[in-house]
Amino acid sequence: MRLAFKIALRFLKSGRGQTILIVLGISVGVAVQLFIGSLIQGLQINLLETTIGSSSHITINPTNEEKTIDNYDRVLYETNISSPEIINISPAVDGPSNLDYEEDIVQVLIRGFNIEDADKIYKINSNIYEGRAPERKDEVIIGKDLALKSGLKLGDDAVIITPGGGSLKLNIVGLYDLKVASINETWLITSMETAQDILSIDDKITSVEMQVKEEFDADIIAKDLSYTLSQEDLKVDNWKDQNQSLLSGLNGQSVSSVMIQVFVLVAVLLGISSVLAISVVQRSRQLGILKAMGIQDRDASLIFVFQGLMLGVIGAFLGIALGFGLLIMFTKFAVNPDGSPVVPIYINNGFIALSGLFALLSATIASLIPARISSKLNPIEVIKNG
Amino acid sequence: MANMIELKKIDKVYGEKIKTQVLFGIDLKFEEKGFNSIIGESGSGKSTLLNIIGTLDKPTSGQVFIDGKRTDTLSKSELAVLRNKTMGFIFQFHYLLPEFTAKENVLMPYRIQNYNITREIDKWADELLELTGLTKVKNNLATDMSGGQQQRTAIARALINKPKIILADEPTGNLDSDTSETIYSILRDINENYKTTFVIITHDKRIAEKTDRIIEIKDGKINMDVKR
Amino acid sequence: MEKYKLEFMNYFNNNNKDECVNFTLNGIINNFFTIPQLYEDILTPALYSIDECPENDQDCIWQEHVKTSIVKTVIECVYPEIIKQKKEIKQLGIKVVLACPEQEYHEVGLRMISDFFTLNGYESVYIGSNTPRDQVSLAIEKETPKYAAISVTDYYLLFETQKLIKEIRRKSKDSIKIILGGSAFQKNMNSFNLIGGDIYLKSYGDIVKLKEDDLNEISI
Repeated sequence: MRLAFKIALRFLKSGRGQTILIVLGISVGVAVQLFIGSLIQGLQINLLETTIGSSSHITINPTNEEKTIDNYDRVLYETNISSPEIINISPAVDGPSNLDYEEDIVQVLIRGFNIEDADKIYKINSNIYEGRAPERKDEVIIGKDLALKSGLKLGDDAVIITPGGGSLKLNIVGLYDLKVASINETWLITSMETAQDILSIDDKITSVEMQVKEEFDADIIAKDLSYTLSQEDLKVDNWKDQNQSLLSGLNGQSVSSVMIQVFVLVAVLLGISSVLAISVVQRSRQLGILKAMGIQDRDASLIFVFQGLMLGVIGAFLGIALGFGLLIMFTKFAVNPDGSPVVPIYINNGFIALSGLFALLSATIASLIPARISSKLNPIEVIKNG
Repeated sequence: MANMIELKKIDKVYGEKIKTQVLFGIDLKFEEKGFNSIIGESGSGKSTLLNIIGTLDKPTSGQVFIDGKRTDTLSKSELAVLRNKTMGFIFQFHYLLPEFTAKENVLMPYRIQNYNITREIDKWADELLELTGLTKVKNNLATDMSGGQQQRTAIARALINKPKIILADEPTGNLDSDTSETIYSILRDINENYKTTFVIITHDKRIAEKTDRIIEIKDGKINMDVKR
Repeated sequence: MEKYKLEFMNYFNNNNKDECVNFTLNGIINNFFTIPQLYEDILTPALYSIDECPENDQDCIWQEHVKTSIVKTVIECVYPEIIKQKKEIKQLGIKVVLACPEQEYHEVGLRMISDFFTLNGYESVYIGSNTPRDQVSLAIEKETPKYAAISVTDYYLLFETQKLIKEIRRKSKDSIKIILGGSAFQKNMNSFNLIGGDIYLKSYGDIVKLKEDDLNEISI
């Protein structure tokens, strides 16, 4: 065993050119695999983040005629205990309304939040670029686009026409930019109390929004949640059901990324295998004499397994380093005008470890063929052929 | 004297479809401590015979006994152990491992059975290198030695496990006559000092005429078997 | 005989060539011993006495050469006596070609045999040591002898001898009889037939017997 290792090491050292070449081959393979994998992951995470990062993953909606949830404390409690995966639970009081400003009347959406809870989902506070979040009754913040369109400014009063026909003045205490034009144009964010008032629904809410830790588990968690909820007139929606086309797009991307990675690894595997197979032929004299001297077949094949393993280890490490290099270069050179990377690279330690492990595994599998040739090699063939 | 090697009715046929018989019913015994040579034209089957004695090749029929032990019933791995402990091989083309130094090559057969080198074995390897006149080049890679030095390394290697038998196929095949003479005297010394049984294939008259027994193989049969 | 042998050995061991020659010629002329007796009982043991060289004796080889040379000189000096005796012997009219195979340099034995044949009425054609195969064949073609006598000392040359005999038989179409002798056969009589020998000669007595057979053959 140790002799096989020693011989393997010596073989690698003496065939330096070949060893360097094969290590480079593995490294490039691993680097490309790592790069593509990380890039695609980064891309997906980025896309997902912009799509659902600041939105509700699971939403509990009422199905009754009034479209309201009565006993929402209970609903919140049940939601909370349904799954530890559920985070950022935020009750909301929503309702359509009209904003009357000098030139026009536009339809808006009143969103009454418990600002502290909603902030966790929508990052309201950090996206207020002027003023502050609503704190008292009849305070509201409006989006950037609406502000531009209506000419309303910080400190102005927004005139709201309630569904009942009356009008109400809300003091604009802040301007926000949630980076989505349709939201910026339509959402009037205020406190729950104010919204309940405008919509005249007393102490009821219209939905419960929440996020989950693993976005892709939203459908499963939603299902569990709907079992947990005791109130009958509730419906649990999740983002996956509402974004089927996005999902299938992401899926396709994942599959093609995996395919590319697999083929890169297969190419690496074939490369190692063929170089090692050639090396068995090159070393057949040595193997022949070792066998004549009484080395066991098992040890003769171990020589090549060890070679594969060593090549795999070195190749994996170098490849990971090279992959990182590529990623860093990519984030440095492929940038938006503002200097931020086109695709923010996502470093996933598990994925890197897996990459390395796959390289190692490929190298070992690749060494099995030469190992087998080595084991089967009959010393007589070598000795007879001089 | 006891027989160190005994061949009984050895036939060897090569090929599956087109069969070529290279050895025909060879019966042969080699005594312990004998210094024997095998001669014969190329293609006579002498190398095949040596390889069969060395358990590197299997006879198509017949039996080989090494030191009284029947070999055709042994497994591949048992044969490897038998070869490692009982036999030393010297081939015409040296077959050193070029990746290793002279001394590492010499120690290789020992390492195969036991990875750790004891002080005794290390000393023995040095003695063998001294005996074969390689002390100065013992740390050279095999590729950095002359043909004669490589061949002497192969001889030292064949001796490291103190085998009872040394099988040599043209040990002086491509060496000049002075070097051949040196190789011969080393082999002879070993034969006398360690009572090793030698079977040497050679076409070198200077070597053959000095052995104690000459066996001529012709067309796969023993043509003549003469003793000094 | 023992007395003469001891006296000869005395001179011989001291490398005294002159006395060795004088002593032998004197012995032959005064009929102290016959030529076959000289060869078999004095010279042969003397030669064998130097045959084995102890490995640590560095002087052995040149000593051996000096002594071989003494024996050769003695044999040559005896030849005039053989010429004399030949005249008194009835000639058989049978030729014997004598040779050593290629690489065989030990010719003294063969030289003695050559004289033995002469003394028995044969016509000896002595070629000598280290004779290439084709030269032996040419000699046989030319001389058409009944016998070809080949002497082998170095056992390694038994293989060359086998080839030589094959060559002779091919050329002479088996009409010739091969006589073999020499110390190479002592341990290897089993190879005598393999090599292709017809008659094995060990001593002068064997030649006398051969002569009787030949005489019988002629008389029939």
